[in-house]
Amino acid sequence: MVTVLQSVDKWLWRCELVLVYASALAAVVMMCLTSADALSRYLLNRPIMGAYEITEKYLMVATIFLGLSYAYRGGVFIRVTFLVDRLPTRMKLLAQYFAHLVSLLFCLIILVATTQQAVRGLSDDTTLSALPLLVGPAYCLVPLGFLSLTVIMLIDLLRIRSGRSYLFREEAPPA
Amino acid sequence: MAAIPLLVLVLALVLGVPIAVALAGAGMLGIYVVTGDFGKVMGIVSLAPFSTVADYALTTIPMFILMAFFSASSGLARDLYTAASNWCSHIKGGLAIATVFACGIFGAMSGASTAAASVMSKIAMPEMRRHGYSDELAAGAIGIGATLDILIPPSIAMVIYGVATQTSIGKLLIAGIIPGLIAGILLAVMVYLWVVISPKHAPTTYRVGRQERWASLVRIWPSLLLIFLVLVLLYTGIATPTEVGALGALLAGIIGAVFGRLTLADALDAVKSTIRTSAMIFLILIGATIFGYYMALSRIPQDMVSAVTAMDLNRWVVIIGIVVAYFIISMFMDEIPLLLLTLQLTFPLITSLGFDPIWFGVMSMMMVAMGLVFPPVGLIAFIVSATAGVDLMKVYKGTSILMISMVITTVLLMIFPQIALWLPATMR
Repeated sequence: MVTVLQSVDKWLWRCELVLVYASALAAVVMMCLTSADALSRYLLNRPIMGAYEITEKYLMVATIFLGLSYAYRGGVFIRVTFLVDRLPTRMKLLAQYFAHLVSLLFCLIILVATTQQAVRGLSDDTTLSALPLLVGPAYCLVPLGFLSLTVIMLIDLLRIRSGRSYLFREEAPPA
Repeated sequence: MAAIPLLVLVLALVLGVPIAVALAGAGMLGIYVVTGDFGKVMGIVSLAPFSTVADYALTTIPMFILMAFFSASSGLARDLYTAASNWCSHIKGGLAIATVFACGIFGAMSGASTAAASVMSKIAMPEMRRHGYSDELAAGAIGIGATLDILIPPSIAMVIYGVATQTSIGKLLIAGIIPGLIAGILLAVMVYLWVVISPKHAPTTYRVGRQERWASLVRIWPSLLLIFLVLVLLYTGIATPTEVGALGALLAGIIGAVFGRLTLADALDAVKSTIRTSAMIFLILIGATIFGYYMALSRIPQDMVSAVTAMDLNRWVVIIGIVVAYFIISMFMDEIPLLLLTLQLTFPLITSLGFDPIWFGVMSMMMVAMGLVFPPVGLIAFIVSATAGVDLMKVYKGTSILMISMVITTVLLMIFPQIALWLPATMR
């Protein structure tokens, strides 16, 4: 069981790396595209066609959602721990299980809802106003991010008792 | 019945449920309670994540964060502290004053107080200890100095406030400059007075040669130029805050690379850190968006405005009540969730009472800044204590004394709102 979990975790980590590098690429492209668009508009009076919409609909969405599971390992969820930290060990463990299960439920609901939206988006022919690029595929980035987050949270549920859950961790491991 | 989700929210927060999840969960429950239609809940939840993130104005957040991480990875904080200490070391309490100035300038490139507290604790604390400074003074200067970053542009908290309240982000960022400068100068004066009254807290001063002083400035001039450029672009409105963020990040990366201080590995780490921090902020934003739907449907903010108006209270009584509430909540919570959690209730009230949204934005930042270093929690105080290895009570003692400067700045802001409003009013 432990070996299976370890191999799943390793495989998941590789998937996360692919997602986080895609997210990093989107962030860098967003920086370069926005800068180039601003310079081109102010210096040459010629904005880059579609830069605004590509940044908004694709790059921004990819930057945030594709990096979700990587961010989770680094403590993406901020909590108010003032009271919980003062609870006896047993009560604290119970509170952690409660917080984890509620968070998992949140991710599942979002995953289901955004998947439905992605399916609707894919069957829609709406394109960006400045470029003939479909908007639908951009919706798929949201459930993709939440799917990876949900899977890692499911595995993480087993780590709460040993105190190694990422949900209650502060620092990110090196990639 | 419609207020039950608010109780659920408080209960979930107290039990340690992540803030983003608590907001979204309470919001979903609230929408269901108000409409009685689960399909409507799923409809809102299916669109909220995409519609919240796919907003051009919000690209300002990851871009300013990227600028901060590029600057931090380039070793800017150490260079800033070295330059400031070289110029201030001959003054009583000079190293603590230098810490305040370094925090302020670092804030003009980072915008996150937690980052400044962590970085400066590592850099300034050993130096001050080496010269016999007391832990109270050293940790107090780092803690309070770090909070200046919330006021000085580019402040992430200001951007969040602007987004949450539909207030001009450019004007908000510029509005923080003068209050930030006043707070910084008063803080330096407070450090000086503390050492004059009680010299044991900073027993030694030393003088650095003129050549070394100027040499330390040479290392930071590109970054100072970048800060100047960012402020000019924001003030003149030549570029939007989003464009300023992207250009600032790009230039910070180029400066780091050209001067050989930012390797490819450093840059990649900076981008990954940006993703992590941005994801954290946006998850809370998504939660706040869902919660916002519940607020709008339940009409709780409007009812609250009507109730307060019916009480016929003096508007200054109301604002002081809000200010105290912000101060108390910020002792337990970081600035971003605090703003997203409270603004949906406080902002309609403030505007209905005739207060300027920009002025209230700056006031909120002042309160949040003070709460972050005040007992019993104070997030920044925790960071300084943990990073610098100082007893938490000593950090609190230092920050509580130096906080007088922030209190004076707040009182000045209340008496003379023009301190915050003058500069934005001169913008195009």
